[in-house]
Amino acid sequence: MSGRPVNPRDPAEPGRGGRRMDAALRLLDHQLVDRDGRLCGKVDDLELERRDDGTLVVTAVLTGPGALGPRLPGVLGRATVAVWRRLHGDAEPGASRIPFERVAGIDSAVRLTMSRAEVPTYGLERWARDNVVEKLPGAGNAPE
Amino acid sequence: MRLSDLLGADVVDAAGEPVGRVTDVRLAQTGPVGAGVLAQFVVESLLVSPRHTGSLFGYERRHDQGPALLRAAVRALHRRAVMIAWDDVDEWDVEGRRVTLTRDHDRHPPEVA
Repeated sequence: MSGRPVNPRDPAEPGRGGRRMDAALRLLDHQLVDRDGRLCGKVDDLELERRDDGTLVVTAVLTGPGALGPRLPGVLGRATVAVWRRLHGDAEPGASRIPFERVAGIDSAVRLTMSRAEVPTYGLERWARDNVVEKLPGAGNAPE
Repeated sequence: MRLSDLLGADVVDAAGEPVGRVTDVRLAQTGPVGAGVLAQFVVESLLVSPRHTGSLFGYERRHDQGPALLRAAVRALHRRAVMIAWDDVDEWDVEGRRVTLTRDHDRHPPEVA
């Protein structure tokens, strides 16, 4: 934001060494994979934080209906957010946030250092288990 | 702030003249990559296209992406797409979904990351 001339194509740009990727093309809607190789959602958005020097840093991967809903147009987006709010315990649940420090690698998928059970959106599946599945006749006898 | 606040945002020059819309955001990794941990990514530049048809799967950036007919069509649609460094952004109005460029900003032809 300083107006300093920068050539975005120049890999030798000072302080800008390292890998480059286009976020919408290479990250958005890509699969999240936990440390055990299990699928645990999609990259629905990225959280950006503006530093004092104007730099925008990616601080978290956002996943789940709270991140996807606002991206969807019109009624579909509003309905997604409304259902998410209804199922979630909080009045304004927001998006599920995975700190970028928990990202181990990015290839065709985004690989996490955490277990699927730690992914915040996994709570929706827990809610379904506690409120739907366990209420079914015979569910209490099901083996783990 | 979210990536989706930038994607689709209107881009204008210092005089308020429209340049296009943000169709993608190029990230660059800074610092060394530690064992099992990725170095942080920062926003390096914006892909700005006067068309409203989105980024169209990278066809406008990759010279070798096929099929050739589709590539030609998409590149024709996005022939005026440019990359603009984040350092050349003067102001980002998140609520208003509007990015204002500096008076002396540079526009570069899009290339694959």
